[in-house]
Amino acid sequence: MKKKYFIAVLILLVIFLCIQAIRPQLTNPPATAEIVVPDNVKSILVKSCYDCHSNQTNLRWYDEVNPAYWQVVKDVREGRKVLNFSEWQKMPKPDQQAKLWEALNQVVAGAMPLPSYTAVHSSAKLSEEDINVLKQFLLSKVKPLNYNASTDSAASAQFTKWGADSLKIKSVPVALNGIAFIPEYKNWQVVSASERFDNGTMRLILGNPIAIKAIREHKISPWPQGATFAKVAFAQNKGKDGIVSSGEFKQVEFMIKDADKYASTKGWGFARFKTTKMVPYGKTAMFATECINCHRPEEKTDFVFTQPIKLNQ
Amino acid sequence: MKTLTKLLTAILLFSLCACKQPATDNELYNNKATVPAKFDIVKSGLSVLNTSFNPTKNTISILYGNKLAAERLRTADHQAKQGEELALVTWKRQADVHWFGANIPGELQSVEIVKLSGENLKPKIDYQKLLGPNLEQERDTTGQQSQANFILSQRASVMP
Repeated sequence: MKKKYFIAVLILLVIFLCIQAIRPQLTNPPATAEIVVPDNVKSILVKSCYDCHSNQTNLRWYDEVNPAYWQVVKDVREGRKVLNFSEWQKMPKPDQQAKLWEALNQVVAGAMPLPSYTAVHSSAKLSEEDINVLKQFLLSKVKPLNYNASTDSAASAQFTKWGADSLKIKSVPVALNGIAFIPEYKNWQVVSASERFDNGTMRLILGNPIAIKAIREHKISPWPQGATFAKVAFAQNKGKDGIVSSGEFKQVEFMIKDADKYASTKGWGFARFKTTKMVPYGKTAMFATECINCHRPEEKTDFVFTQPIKLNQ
Repeated sequence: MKTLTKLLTAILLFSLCACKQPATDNELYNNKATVPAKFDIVKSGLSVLNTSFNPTKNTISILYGNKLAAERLRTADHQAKQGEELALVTWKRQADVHWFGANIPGELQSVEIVKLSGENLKPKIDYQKLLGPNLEQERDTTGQQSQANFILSQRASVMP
């Protein structure tokens, strides 16, 4: 009995030693366009994010042992692809800001750093104070909102064109994942509205009849098959009276619930159409992974950020 | 050894259950912003025309209107016509717990309803304001005319 036990342990040990030889390469290329932020912000990023989201991955001895090492390599490659602080300045400025707000919200939601990572690297956890430093830093970047003549005239010009029916698109655009623009969105009912001071926009979130019925009947966990949202974004346009109205139309985004068809993105089909020309967003059909990555922390509410305003039954 | 296995299984099962707690009603819905049945927007047949917010008053609003109003507010035509109906719903702003960087409707502050009747060239403007989460009729009539005019002179949000 004891002998059998000994042999089994020996076999396992040999296997363990053999798998150490299988080592995918993980290099640290030079950081050519690193993020430039104040020291107190930088130190938090380095401590909590850099292992997976920069070219300066700091492997501890226990990260180098297989099978853990395979997971580490996979996470780092994935992490660098999504967000890389060492290549930061290669991104357009507005995208940089949007990425930071998204990253902070992933942290606030507890989705980042990955719990599996902080379980082993406890020093990477962010304290309340760390989160506050990041919040204050981002808030300091928000431009104060004032009346702006050119914003106002751009809004008026677009409004005039729309009123004259000269913004009609000739054919229905289709996103690379096959989701077509839905012209009926503007007849849908309101789910909610939001003012986004992080990026100077305001939004109307509308729902198709299936979504509205589900809200009324309290059947939104999960949302039913066919429920569809349109999130319409406008530039903020502050009037001389201090009221901020919807300025230029920026884009409309759709979320379509179909558990089978969109199984790879948690049962939701995503599409975004930009400007009044409704230009489909995305360079490849895989663009929706970007959408679901951001929505992932909202698993509890079926990956939907918007809490609908309750309707009486 | 057996005890340890049992203990580990228990911890594992518990941690899986902990992640799978269903969302509560308050997590799913924005209950604070509920509009009472007295004014059911969906059933009123009015459609959404625009959204705005007021940083000074810390409010966020959505304007609704019937077909006649919707058609006029798409253009710069300020001559309101009989048969138009508009409703401006205003909430206090609250921070969006799901997104640091956003504000969403909070407690309901008011519903203002403007209805036009009579003749087209000189329509009669009927204005009423319902206040607070229970939508109680406002008795104070000062400033009603200017508020009605403010609502009638709105522009629709561009939704191509």
